[in-house]
Amino acid sequence: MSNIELKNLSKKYGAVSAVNGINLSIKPGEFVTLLGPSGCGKTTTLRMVAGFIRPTSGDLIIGDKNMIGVPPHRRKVGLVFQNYALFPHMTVKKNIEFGLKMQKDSPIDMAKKVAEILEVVKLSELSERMPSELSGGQQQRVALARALVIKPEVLLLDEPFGALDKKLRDHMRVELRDLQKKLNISTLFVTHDQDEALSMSDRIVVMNEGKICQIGKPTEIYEQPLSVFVASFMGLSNILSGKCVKVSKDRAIVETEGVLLEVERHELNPNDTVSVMIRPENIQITQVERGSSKAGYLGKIVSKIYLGSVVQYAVKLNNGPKILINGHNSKITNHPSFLVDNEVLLSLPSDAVYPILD
Amino acid sequence: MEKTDLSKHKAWLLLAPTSVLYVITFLIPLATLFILSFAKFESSVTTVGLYLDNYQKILSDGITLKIFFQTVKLSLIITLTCLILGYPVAMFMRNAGPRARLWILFFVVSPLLTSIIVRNVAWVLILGRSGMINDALISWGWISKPLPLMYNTFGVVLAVVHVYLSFMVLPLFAALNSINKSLEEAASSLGAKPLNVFLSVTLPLSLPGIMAGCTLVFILSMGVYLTPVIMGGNFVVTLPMLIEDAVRNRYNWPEASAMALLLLLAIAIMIIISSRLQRWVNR
Amino acid sequence: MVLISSLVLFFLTAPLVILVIQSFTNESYLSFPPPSYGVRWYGEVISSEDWQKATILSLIIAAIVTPLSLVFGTLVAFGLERGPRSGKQTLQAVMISPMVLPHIVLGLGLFKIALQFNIADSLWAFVPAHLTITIPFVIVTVGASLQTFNVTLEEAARSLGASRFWAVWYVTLPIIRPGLIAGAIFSFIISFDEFIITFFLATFQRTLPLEMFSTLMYQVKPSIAAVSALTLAVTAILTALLMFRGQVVGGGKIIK
Repeated sequence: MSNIELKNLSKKYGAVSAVNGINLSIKPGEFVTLLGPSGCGKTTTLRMVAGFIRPTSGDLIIGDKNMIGVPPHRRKVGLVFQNYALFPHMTVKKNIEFGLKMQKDSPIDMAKKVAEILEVVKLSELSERMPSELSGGQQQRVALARALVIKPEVLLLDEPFGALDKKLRDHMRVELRDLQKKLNISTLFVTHDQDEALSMSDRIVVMNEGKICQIGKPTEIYEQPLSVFVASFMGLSNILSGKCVKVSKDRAIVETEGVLLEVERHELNPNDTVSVMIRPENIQITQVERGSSKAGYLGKIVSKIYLGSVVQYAVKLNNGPKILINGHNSKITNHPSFLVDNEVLLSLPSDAVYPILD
Repeated sequence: MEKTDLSKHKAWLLLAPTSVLYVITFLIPLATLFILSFAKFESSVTTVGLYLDNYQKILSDGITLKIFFQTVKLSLIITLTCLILGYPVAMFMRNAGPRARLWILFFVVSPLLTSIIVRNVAWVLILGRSGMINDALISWGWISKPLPLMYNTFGVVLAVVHVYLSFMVLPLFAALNSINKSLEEAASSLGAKPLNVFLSVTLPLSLPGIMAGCTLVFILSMGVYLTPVIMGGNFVVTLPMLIEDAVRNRYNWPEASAMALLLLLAIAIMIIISSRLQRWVNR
Repeated sequence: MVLISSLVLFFLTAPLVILVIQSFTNESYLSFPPPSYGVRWYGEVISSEDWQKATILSLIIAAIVTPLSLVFGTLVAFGLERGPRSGKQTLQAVMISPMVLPHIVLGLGLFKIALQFNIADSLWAFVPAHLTITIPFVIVTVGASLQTFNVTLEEAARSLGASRFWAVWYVTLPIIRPGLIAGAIFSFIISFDEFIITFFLATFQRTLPLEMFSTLMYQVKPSIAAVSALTLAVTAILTALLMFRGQVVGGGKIIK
């Protein structure tokens, strides 16, 4: 159990920077996810930690030792690949034993450790099978077992669930997280799937074009994005650009595309350009009641998409922008009068609007 | 993504042993021959320098050039025969099922891995004056004197074709195999008869394979020594035979080197022609 | 078309079959079909000192050349496949270029060098010469196997503590074994059957092909049929081994 530190890690290919100055500290036992679109440098970063790519500059500390120049086989990392990379010519047992054999464990120790880890991943009866005889999920667990049995300083996973179907994927996410917590092993996880990142991580590192955009807990990343990129990457959202027009001690008014929105002040000052994010699930859509003084914004439904458990509306505010709303499929949100071209009232709780100072 | 993550130095290290070997067994010998071809050979003494004697002799003595062109003519006949005989086999292989294909491949490939001597011996026993064919024909009374099936162009061509046919079939098969069957099917659905489909679709698309095979067989035929010696005796003379004679009987290295370079030149020209044709075909 | 193909295939194999049948004659001359059958000539050949010496020399050379060729060629295949992308095509062409050179020219040149260094007619000349023509085949067969090999398997091994060498040893080599075996078989057969280069290099020593040639030039005796048949058996078995282990892909591996 130790610290993993990436200090200003960079990788250049000629004039192109695949990774540009990454700074990250992984605490012992922490599950950190590198999240971003393809080409953002997350896999390159992971492979630098593993030792397959030599950084152009920067430092990498694993367990108090600087790993720059150290070949992969001398780093104590456990790597799980997307395609599992199980040795096809070896049994499950021999696959898992491999790392221990490289460590020159005695046969007795090897047998014991292999049996233990097989128990943990619940594959004890399959130890003499060949990888080709296993299902995708089973192969995944063998790959995990193989990486964990050598007790690495850090577990590295490169989109390990990409090849699995949805149900299996969801299941494996939970299993992996439980296992990781139980063994208390520092983990660096790479994915482009925000659901995965949100559900599994202690912290998420959002990356784009080789740089870190934001590091934080899942709740922070989702609810308090520091940039428009992060906000729009993490699921659907409404992002409106506007200007701050009035401030009070802890609140501010932002004018955006014809409507005035009230937000928590944060650090806003009058005349600041600001983008505001409104998560579609935080907007309430209600019927218009003539003569009522309910606060909100009037608009017309432009489209309605039925998604099973969620109903998605696009509403064009009167004199304002188009807003996306996600509502649970309940009688309130899926009211029979909510049809295209009908008028509705949108109400926004004050903390539903989040200002992003890019 | 750095999949090939071996540094340039380490990669070169892996290539080093073989490269060193090649320098000794390939580059240096060739360079030596090149230099020697410009040397002078007079009364068994070789003087190195820049003499064009050897090349002059080749071009002017009437015999060498004649034999050179004879060798070229022979190689062309061999190449053409291999093409005509080999194309059907390649087609057959292509249309066959996987198991049949493997068997045909076995019969096509195994001659390649048989010693040239063995194959020539087989032909001597069949075509010779007291060989199988003549024996049979005489004993059946069809002829009274043995047929001259050996020690002439016929015997040489037959035997060399036998040796190099596989080198024609394999590239042809590879090219034919890569032709999408649906192109031919489209042609016939548009009303083309099988012969037309072949002429207008299959044949043109297999041209790269034809050229690869022909180039290969031509190169091999130009350089073949043994078969013409055994099957042609002293009646069919090829450039390789001249080279061997110059060195082992007359110890005239400069002349042999010059002829060797002439051989290489002919092959180089063939390769250039072939690649030009390939480029023209791919227009 | 099927007819022509069958005839051609018949043309390819019949002479060899006839040869084998003729070798079982009991007479002192060759004819087809043999008037009487026997293994007389096999006995003569096997007990003849000349043939024994020639066979042993051929075997020794092939036995030395095959493993060396496999090692040299595999190293090159790895260097080409795992090295920098740029220039790989040209470098590969260069490394297999001896395949394109006419053996007579190679033999001529090698003979000159061998004479210069006084190593003609010895293993010191035969082995390097044979290596030069067998290594390209190993590069092609092992290279083909490596291309389809999944590199992440090697990376997995390295992440588990295996140095590059051990990763290749424990994981890559076992998996590309078919390519290695193919390369070894090609090397052995090419070396064993090689004539022209060895012809130039040798004076008193005789490999099996050389012995066969001199016998042939001297007189056509059934012994030559017997030797041919034996050699044929060896290479046929090796070829069958090569092919029916399912290692030959669609278009054959001998094409460059």
